[in-house]
Amino acid sequence: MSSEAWFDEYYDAVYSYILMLVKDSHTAEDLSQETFMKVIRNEHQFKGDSLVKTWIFRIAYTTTMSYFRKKNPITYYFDLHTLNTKHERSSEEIALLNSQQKQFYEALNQLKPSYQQVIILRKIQGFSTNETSAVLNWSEGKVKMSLSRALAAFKIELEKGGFTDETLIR
Amino acid sequence: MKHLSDDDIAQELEKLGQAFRPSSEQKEKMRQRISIQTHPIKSFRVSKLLPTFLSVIVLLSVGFGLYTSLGESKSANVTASWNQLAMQQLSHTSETYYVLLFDGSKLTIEDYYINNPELAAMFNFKINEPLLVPGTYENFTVKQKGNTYTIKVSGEGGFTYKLEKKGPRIFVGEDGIEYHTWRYLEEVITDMATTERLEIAPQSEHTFLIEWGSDSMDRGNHDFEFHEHGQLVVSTDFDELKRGQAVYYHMPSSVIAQNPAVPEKYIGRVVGLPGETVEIKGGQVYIDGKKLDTFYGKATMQGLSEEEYFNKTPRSAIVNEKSTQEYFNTNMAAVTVEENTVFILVDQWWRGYDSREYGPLPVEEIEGIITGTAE
Repeated sequence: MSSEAWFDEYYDAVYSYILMLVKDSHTAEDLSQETFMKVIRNEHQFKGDSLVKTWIFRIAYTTTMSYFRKKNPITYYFDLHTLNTKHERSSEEIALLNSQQKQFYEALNQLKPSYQQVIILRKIQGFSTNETSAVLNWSEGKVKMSLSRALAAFKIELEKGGFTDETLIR
Repeated sequence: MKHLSDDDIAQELEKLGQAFRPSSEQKEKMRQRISIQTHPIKSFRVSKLLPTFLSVIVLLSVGFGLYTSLGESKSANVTASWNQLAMQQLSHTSETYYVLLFDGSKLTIEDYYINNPELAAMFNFKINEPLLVPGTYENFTVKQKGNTYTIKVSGEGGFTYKLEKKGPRIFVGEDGIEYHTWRYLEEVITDMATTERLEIAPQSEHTFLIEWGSDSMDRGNHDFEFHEHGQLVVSTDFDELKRGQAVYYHMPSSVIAQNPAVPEKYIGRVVGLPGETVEIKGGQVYIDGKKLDTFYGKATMQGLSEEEYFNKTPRSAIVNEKSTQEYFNTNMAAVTVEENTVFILVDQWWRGYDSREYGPLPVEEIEGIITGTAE
């Protein structure tokens, strides 16, 4: 399977993943482009010992992280880059969201970056525990534990915003 | 209040993810961007190659500069050593029989070929255009660069002729004619850096002063002597010893044992360096078989050579003519200078002790180099 077909199949997922993290469509485009350039250049290095999607997401993850590292060298190392930078854009500017999605996304952004990662990968991008551990280079145990803690924290954040079982629009 | 269920959250998050997906337009745009990047249109831009051009130019000019400066420095004028040299053609490949005579400022080229057709038939000459024109030329120079010797005659009828040294006495001209010389070309070692007289030297924390009373370094001016020139500056700050350098060193105990009057610390001049062989034949020092053509390379009395000495000094002042002649024709068998040792000679050989007595001197015995006199 060539990298062009990979682009067709995985571009949407990669772009949405990066956009959720960087919150800026231009930056997200640039980083997705960089990700796929790396994929195309290093196609021969893909060993086939993992899913293509996992491999591409690993590249997307490292590309995004090095972007944050360059942008905020100090906060990155303290896991403090809450992905909220000074020129923060409102959710409307990032994507077309209804009010409920907006609240969900804002609640997600209140979490610390590693929780955001694990929720985005496991629950939004639909990776398995094993695949998530490959993307983040974590142990499977850490993925599982982080996910349960992240979800608990996420629930608290949602409920702070007044969400209950009743108010949820299904 | 009922809490949110995990399933609900999961469902809602999945929907949220969908909202972040790019539109098909965005995706198409990106596809083009990536394909342009991976298949870039190759365009020739001068501005891109400008650094390459510039570095090539810089590299060439540096290379050219190095070539010319090195080339010039290596070419040595050896006209003097070609004086009184006769060179005779050896090869039978040309219709000539040259004899070259280098005599003072005159170069005589003669062609002893006898026009003889039989001879021509016998030898089937290969070289049809010999370059040398017989005649007598004034003002010639011989320059050596490696094994190539260039004879240059200036003025009217001037020419240059290159000779390649093939053996100790064999030369091949640029036109292919072979010559042999009647004697070996004398190779000499010179020293332009070392001066005969000491000058006033600066002092620093690496220097100290000494007083020297002996006339062992005398070259006709009571050189190095305290009562004439004052104290000497000795510097302990030196890296590599060069030929001709005067040094201050510990006299080996074997010499002092023989003659307790010898000062414990002594002065001499570095003549032989590690790896060289030093030989004295007829009052002349040879390094690796090459003549040491310097003021400290031959036997002198107060700086005078044998001829000068006998011309200048009245007979009555010469105590023993025979032994003086013997002194001027001092001989010493070849000595190999080992690593980390140097061969030391005083300037007035009959007035001092040096490596002729005790052999090469270990470098660690040297306390410092003599840089000059104090004010």
